[in-house]
Amino acid sequence: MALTVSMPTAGCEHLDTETIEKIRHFRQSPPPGMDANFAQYACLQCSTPGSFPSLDEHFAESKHTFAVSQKSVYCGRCHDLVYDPALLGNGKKRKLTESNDEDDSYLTSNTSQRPCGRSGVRGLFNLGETCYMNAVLQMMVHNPLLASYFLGMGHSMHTCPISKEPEKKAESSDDEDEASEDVNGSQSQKKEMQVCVACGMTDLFSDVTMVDQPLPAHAVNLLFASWKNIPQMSGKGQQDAQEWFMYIIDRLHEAVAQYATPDKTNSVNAANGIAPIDKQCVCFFHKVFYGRYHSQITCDTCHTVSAREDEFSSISLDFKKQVKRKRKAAKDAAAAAATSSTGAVTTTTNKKDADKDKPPLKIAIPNLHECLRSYTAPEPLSPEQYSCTTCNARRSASKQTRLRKLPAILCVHVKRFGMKQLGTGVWVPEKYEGKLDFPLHLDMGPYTTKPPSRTTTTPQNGTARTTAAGTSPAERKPDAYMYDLDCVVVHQGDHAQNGHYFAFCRQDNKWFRFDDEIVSATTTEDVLRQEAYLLFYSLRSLEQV
Amino acid sequence: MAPERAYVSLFPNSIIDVDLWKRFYNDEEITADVPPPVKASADMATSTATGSKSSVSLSVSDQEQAITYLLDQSIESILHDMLLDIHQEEKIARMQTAVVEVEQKAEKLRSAHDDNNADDKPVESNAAVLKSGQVQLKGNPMKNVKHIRCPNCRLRRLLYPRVGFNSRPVPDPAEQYCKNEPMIIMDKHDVHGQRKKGVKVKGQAKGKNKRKNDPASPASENSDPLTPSSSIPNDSFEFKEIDYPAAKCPNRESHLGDHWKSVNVFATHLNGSCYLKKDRAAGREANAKIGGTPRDSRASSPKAGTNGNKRKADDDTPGGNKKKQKLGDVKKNEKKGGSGPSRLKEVNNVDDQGEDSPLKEVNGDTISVTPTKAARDASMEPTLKLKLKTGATDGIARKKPGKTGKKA
Repeated sequence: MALTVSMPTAGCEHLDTETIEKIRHFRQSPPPGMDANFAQYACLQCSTPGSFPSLDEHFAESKHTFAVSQKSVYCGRCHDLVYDPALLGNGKKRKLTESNDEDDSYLTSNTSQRPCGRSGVRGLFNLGETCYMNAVLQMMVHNPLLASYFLGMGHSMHTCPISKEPEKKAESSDDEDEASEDVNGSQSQKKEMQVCVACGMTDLFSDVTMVDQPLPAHAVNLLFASWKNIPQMSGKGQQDAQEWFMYIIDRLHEAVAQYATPDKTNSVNAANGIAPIDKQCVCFFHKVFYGRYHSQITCDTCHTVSAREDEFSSISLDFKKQVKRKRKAAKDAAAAAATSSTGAVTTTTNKKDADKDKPPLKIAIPNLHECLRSYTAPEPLSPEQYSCTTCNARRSASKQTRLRKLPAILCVHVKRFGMKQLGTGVWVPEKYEGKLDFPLHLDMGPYTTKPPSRTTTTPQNGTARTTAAGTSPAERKPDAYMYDLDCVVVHQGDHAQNGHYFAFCRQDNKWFRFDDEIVSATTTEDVLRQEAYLLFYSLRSLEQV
Repeated sequence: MAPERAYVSLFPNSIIDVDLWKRFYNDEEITADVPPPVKASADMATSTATGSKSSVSLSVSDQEQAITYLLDQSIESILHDMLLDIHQEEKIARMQTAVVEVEQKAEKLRSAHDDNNADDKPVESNAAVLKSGQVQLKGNPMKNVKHIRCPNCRLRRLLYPRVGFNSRPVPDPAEQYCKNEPMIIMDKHDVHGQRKKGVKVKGQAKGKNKRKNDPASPASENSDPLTPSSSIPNDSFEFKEIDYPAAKCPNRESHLGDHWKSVNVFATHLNGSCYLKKDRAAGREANAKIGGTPRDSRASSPKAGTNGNKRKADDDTPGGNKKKQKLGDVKKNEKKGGSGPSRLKEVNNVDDQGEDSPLKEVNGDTISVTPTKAARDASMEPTLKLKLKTGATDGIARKKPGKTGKKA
């Protein structure tokens, strides 16, 4: 890493290690009156708060030098904010790479220098109706965790037992020490699969990250591997991006599957009377993509709870229901209030705008939090749907699904495709258009099985930015369930059967639009304006790993 | 909500941390594993949500004060964070430049003096000091660093794109710049200023032509009001079209050696002749399967060319799709790289068929319904009539009457 970070030893000539320690300490226990959520500066020595001019005056009087906020340090002698390398990177980061300087120098002396170029903005050729694949692939390519896996010898093509002929397997097992543990685990892989999707991915990742050429890359090998491994989706034709995503993840997991004894992780479950999952995969892709949800059905009569846990690779949200609910609420509100709500926001591009009561057209846009809340809310089951084992009879019950375990990369799927019954009784596929508000930062905490210990409730009615002033940060790790938006996949077109997919991905906090070959720069506002089909969030605490 | 994340540009995404996944994989804590719910906790969520509202009552003025404070602080913080991000990015780039410049200077000195103990002497540039391998900043890099240099290739960075939105003329056309240039923002073009093949851009195509014809007409390019100064760099910028390269087909089983196809037709290629075999030949094959005719039925039949008439009689039994299938066979053989003679024969066959095909079809209509001699006898009359009507070649016309004559 030496060549990438040519930074001075300190942020400015006045900073020394002692001061940095002081700053760290200051940030951990800020003086009273300082709110961590706000950008407030206070003198490091005497905790005098103030703006930069007032601090300058204070420094001139007191000969103090530094003012500190949660994010930055102000140097009174430079009269500027200073950025110290020790304070920028979170301490843990890159420990592994920095520890072996010998290797580092060896590598730098033996490899050619990484060429400069616009990085992370390579398009992908459309191989013939493969935009569904390209959109998902761009998400993967821009995920640092996956990039690290595929480029950091997570799955080496040369030692992959699947791509090799079965008779060469013995040879590949010799290279085990070089290869990762995942490859070891896949030695028990069945031999019939000749083309490995993970190899296709490795191939693509190494191709895409070559920054020096502006031409788009192509995922020919991966397409072939995908067709071979996902027979139901093979063949030229338009496919559903979410379906492909689910399958490809499953195949990636199969390529490196590693099953562990389930007792380790499920002891807690056993105590709670949850049937253990007989086989639990502990492979890398499981950890990255798969979460588990916990659904429990409570009988209304005897209150017996039967629970089960299942894996998911994406959370599917009922968009249509939410739109309906919103519209109904809006109508009710409009009916309740006098018609003179002039400040009404008349947004949304709902095609069913033609509802007759046009004047108070205040159709609020459903947001992700509402969808998630209704996803995790208890839902009633009629006696026809559920029979209680304790009562030995059909009972009405309530079912609730909550998230038990969250993946590192969370895929939120907005159900935009459904079936519609025509007057003739024929079901035809239908696409639900319209916006869904989604946040850049998503706290999944409220939708988990975690007991709601916080005093503040879930964000109310779309104001996702309600300040969590009531939460004390010490109570729990604030970022534990915090997710950041990484990628938005959009489906363009009026029909469920055809259309075009493109993706918006974040690269170093800048957003780009990846439309097959063409990559263009865009703004965060533009991204948030999209009618999202798939949303990919990644776990924030990953940055601290 | 939880605090916004602070983005640190020290480690951009583009620099891959190859060990991240290992750390992630070995980290037991990282997946947001939630404690399982306490039994019958379904109603907990509802009970606590409402119960714990604070009962502190505030006067109206207090509330006003609180609201003003919160709003002020929030807006201030939002602005602060935005500015901080930009300031930080800029300043870090300059700090790195200072380091790069002082290192360059040190290297120059070292090569000039050509002695190794120069390491010990501190090297000083106007922004930093290099002392025993450590670089210490000197003064504020925002003030004393002129140009930003790339820490990787040490070339100067362009700060504005060459064309498109927010473009500026290149400060010094003679200088070589870091390849990591600002992204180009332009309609119908990607960040590299390329456009998709076949996409025509009206204004620009004109500009391109003009540029070719007389390069000194910058006024015509001033169509974009946002980029008043973009005319000069436009002259030197070449808008490329993205051409489809060829890619090697990964399905090695279907063909000998490497097979290269243009990437934009790759799905078609795999779908069709290569992997899934869903092309036109597939339809024929399926047809043949339904018809119950093995694909290489011809192998058992007499070879063509010996006696045209006889062959026809034999050939006609499977029906009209014979010819098509034949062609398919030829293709197959060619792909497999069949030996010379057999290939020749096949080609001959095709030629034969091509010549005779109108006839064959006519015959097929008639004779295919008469598989046995008896049946043929029964349907003799229409055959004859047809033959005569179409004015078939002499051989058939002569032979058939002869046959019938014999029978009769």
